[in-house]
Parts: sequence; C-alpha cells; structure tokens
Amino acid sequence: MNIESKLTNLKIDYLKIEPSTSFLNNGWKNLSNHLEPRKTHKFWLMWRWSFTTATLVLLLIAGSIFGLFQGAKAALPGDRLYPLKRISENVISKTQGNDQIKVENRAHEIIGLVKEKQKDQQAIDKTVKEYQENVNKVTEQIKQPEKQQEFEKKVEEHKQEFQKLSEENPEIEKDLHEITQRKTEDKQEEVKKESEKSSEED
Amino acid sequence: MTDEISVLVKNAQNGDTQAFGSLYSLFLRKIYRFVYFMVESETLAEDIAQNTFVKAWKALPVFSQKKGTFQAYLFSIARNLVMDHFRQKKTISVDLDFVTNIESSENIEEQTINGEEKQQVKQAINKLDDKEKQMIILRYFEELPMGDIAKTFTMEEGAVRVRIFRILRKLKEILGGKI
Repeated sequence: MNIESKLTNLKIDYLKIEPSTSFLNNGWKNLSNHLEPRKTHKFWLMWRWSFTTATLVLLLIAGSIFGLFQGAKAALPGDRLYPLKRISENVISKTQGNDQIKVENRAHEIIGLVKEKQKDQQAIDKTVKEYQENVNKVTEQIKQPEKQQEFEKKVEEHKQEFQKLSEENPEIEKDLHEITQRKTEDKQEEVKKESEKSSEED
Repeated sequence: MTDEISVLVKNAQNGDTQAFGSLYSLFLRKIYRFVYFMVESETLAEDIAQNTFVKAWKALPVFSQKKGTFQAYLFSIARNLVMDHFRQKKTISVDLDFVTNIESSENIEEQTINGEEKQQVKQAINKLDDKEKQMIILRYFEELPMGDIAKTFTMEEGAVRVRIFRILRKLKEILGGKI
C-alpha cells in the first residue's frame, strides 16, 4: 500500500472530528454578537460615490465652460457669446503682455461683419476703430525687433484682406479706406526710402 | 455551490450578517477539524475557529474573490492563528491523538487490524513540521485544490506541488523501517 492510500485511510478518522454539540448549537449565536456592524465600509462606499459624482459634475461644468469659450471664439459683435470672447481675450492679452490677440480678433470680426448679408454698419465702424487703436497699442507694446517684424507682417496680411474686401464690397470702401490707405502711404514711404538709400550708395 | 458561496460572500461584504452566518455553517466543521488536528484541544480549537470567523468578517471588505476562494481565505486565517498560538506556546505536542473524542463506528476487530498502521502514519505525520503537516491535511484530508493550498500558504501552485511531493517522500522515508 503506498503512502497516498495510507493517508486516505487516515482521512476517514480525520473526518470524524466534530465540534461539540453545544458549540455547533451556540457557536453562531455567540459569534454574531461579536461581529462589528460594517459602518466604515458603507461610509467608504458613500464617500466614494459622492467623490465620483462631485468629480463628474465638476468635469461637466469645466467642459461646458471650455465649450462655451471655444464657441465664443467665432462670435461677432452683437452675438450672445461675444462678451465671453472679450473676457477670454482680456485674459489672454494679460498673460501674453500685449494686445496682439485683440488685433487678430478685430480683424476677423471686420471680415465676418462685412461678409454678413445684413451688414451692421455701426458695428463695422466700431470694430474698425478698435482694430486701429489696438494696432497702435501693440506697435508700442512690442519692443523686440523680431516680434515687431512679425506683427507688421501680420498687419500687412490683414490690410491685403481688407483691400480685397473693399473691392468686393464697394459700399464699405469708405470704412476700410483709412486702414488700406495707410498701407499705401506706408509702402510709398518705404519705396521712397529705398530709392534714397540706393542714390546715396551710387 | 461555488456560485452560491460567491453570492453569500458578496452579501456578507456588504454587511449582511445572515449571509455570513450561512458561510459560517458551511465552513465551521472544516475549520474546526483543521485547527483541532493541529492544536489537539477541543476548547482551543473552538476559540481559534471562532476567531477565524471574527477576523474573516473584519477583513471581508478587502477580500477579493478574484485573488482566491473564500475557503482558501478562511484556511489562511486559521493557519495564521494556529501559528500564533504555537509561537506563544513554543511547545508542540508530540502525540497526535485526534480521534479520542470521537465515537468510532468500527468494531474492535477492525480497529485492531487498521489501528496499528494508522498509528504509524499518524506518528509519521507528527514528525513533520507545522507547515508540512498543514499541507498534508489540506491536500489529503480536506482535499483542497492545489490553487487553494497555494493561496493559503501564499505560494506558487507549482511550488506547492513540489513541496507536497517532497513531503510524501519524507513520510515514506519515516515509515520506511516500519512497513
């Protein structure tokens, strides 16, 4: 007989080990009195549930605010979300240290307003004025020559777009005249300076 | 049965004492036998068995059925309590007379035939260390799957197989001169 069969034989005796009848009858009764109610577990579950809910609500609010600001990016003067756009651009210009974002936004607004079927003349005038003011401001704010050049390039691009617009919409030519005219004057001055330089060199 | 236990465990984890009561009824005899075999005292075995369930209840919220069965979880607690008892006592009884409180149904003649051989095996088991003895009980008397034994001893299943193989060889060697 191998060892495993011997152990199996012994198992019969092992399985005869029984707790006393009094222990079998009263064991659970005694034990159930010693079991602590599971408050901490319930509290933990409740806390976890509240935390998850709060996080979800916060994420939802943050997402909605972010979505609103993203939506406000394309808003034009008179739109419901336009005030949000102004708030966000104020924050951005403060963090950047200059009003370049305002110039960019006003330029897009001018284009947007002109392209609208029912043109709001008052809004166009106001935006053109603000655009001009912000360009002057930024020119003073930017000190680094590299950045100045970059900004000038950007303004030049805007002017080209405005000129195109005034050609397509003769009725607003007058409004954009000041900006586009300035560009022509600037170019003329540049050409003049260059010709002077070349004559001096000769 | 496994599904039923699984549901009872889940309910007990949520604080259902009645579900825990059902688990108690299902496993009490097994735990008591295992403990009694080791400590050889009825009172002590009852105390340790009760403490096993108290500890199981306390730690139940962090118990995961994915990591092992409830049976392995109970045996693991019981085993630790037995080891704690031995550490405190520092002396382990040599005799293994675990059938003294049982009324045997065998007649005297049968007892005489089997008695001597069983006694030899009992003595051989007594010569094993505590861990080895517990492994033999769980594997050959309680017939626990290897996976459950591995969880009880926090070992790899393969390591348990090797260990049990060695224990059997050791038992054969002990019994060698007597068979």
